[in-house]
Amino acid sequence: VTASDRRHYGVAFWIALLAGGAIALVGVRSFLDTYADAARRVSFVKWVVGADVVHDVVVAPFAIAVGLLARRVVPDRWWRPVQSGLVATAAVLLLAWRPLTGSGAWKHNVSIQPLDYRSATATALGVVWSVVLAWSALRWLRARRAALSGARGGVRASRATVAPSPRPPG
Amino acid sequence: MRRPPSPPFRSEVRSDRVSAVLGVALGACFLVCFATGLYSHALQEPPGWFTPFARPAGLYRFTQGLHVVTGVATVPLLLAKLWAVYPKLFEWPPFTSIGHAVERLMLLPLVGGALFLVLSGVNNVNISYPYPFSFRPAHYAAAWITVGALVVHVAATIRVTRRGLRRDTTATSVDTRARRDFLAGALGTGALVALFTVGQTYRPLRRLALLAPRRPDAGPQGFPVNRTAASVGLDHVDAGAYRLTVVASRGETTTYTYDELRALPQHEATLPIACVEGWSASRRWRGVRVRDLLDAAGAHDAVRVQVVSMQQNPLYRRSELTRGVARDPDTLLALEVDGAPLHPDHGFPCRLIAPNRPGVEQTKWVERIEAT
Repeated sequence: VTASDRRHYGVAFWIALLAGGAIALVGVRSFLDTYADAARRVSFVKWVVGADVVHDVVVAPFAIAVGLLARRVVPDRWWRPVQSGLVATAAVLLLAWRPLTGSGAWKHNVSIQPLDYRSATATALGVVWSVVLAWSALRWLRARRAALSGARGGVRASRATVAPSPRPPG
Repeated sequence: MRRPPSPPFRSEVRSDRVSAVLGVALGACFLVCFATGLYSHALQEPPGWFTPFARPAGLYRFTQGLHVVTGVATVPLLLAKLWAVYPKLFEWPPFTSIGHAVERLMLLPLVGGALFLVLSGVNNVNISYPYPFSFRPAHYAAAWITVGALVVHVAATIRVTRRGLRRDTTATSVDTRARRDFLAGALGTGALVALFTVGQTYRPLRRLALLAPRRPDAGPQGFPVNRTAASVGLDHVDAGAYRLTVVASRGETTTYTYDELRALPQHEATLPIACVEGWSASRRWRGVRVRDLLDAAGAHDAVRVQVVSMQQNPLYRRSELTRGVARDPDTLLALEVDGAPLHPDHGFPCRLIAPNRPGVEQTKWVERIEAT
């Protein structure tokens, strides 16, 4: 840890704490003004704190486990595009989760969730993984071109170092 | 001193640069969502110092469409940012000074609030409410709490963020490229999910709205509704028995039948229905100007106008027009849309349609107009 890594908490930080605290209190007060009953107040705190805890204890370790597993299976050259593909897949599934499970649909209202969301989600994921494939192919072509120019012993041989090398998982 | 990171966290991607770029992108998204969200809230519950205005007619459509699309783009950015900084959760010792302890404590409302905003927003656009409190007050409160915590976080991390945004001359070309690829993936995913959603408000891209729970061309008469006539027991309103009552400031009342309303001078306006859920649809409306009804009732000097629905459910039964909006030539009591009488789900026999207004305030099944 270098000296420059150490955080400094000068006057500006404490002024920001006062300002930020005042802004946050606007939200706390508006909720307390809206709901006088303890049950709803406690539920709100549970949802906000719970979202953080569930992320840190369940979602993040799960994402890291999936990443580690995928890292073992996927060749080095494909890893970065595949990693982005996994992030995109998680985002697509999170956004499509309600329509996919139909849990938000209203019985009388045909205009809410009007699509077949299984095929819509499949199409969205198809686009994501097509981009991953195209990106991987581009990387492969670039690496091949760099390797070829290196083999010819040209002055640009040093550029071959941009080709991905085996990395530790993570 | 910190403990060395454990092996699973030894990724070349996790760096000040990645955290800084994602942090700046997230901060921009949060500010856009906060500003547009406050505007939406002010239109629905105007504070004393704010008077809702009618022009530009499509302003709310733009701001609320932007609010939801930006919120959607936030999802992958937030996931990537939390992944990038996750090892810091296990920093040891947990804090090294009071300032450091305060900074870390404020991460709870920051991260919890940000996740709650995204989750409750995604639930709301799907009309899903798995909590005992209403969406709007909770989303509003969480926004202030999150932005307050964000101010503290920015003050604490501004040095490291500035350094991260500078070119890192010590990183190897492989690490630099890995970070660039990761950032391209995260930012590109944000753009992609936004593209899969924006069609719910931007009609030319409606076929790409794969992740949006609405399409601007899906619903009765070719556009969406939130509250159906059946859900409030108004799917069979008898036009013959219908009466509209206009109450002037001094209590005089004027009553119209459906046929009498149709016999009044009719005006056309092309205006969007723009909903808080971020979808919108522009249609051609035809009906009686609200200002003509007010003038006929002797209420030309009305400062405020309340529009009341036949629905019994008190939620959004009544909405208020400021003088400027009530007297706008495009503010109509609409009887037709696209040349046909309104579908019951769109408010038959008549509904309010006014420029620059949230959809929930475009009162349907109108039975009473009260001027004060």
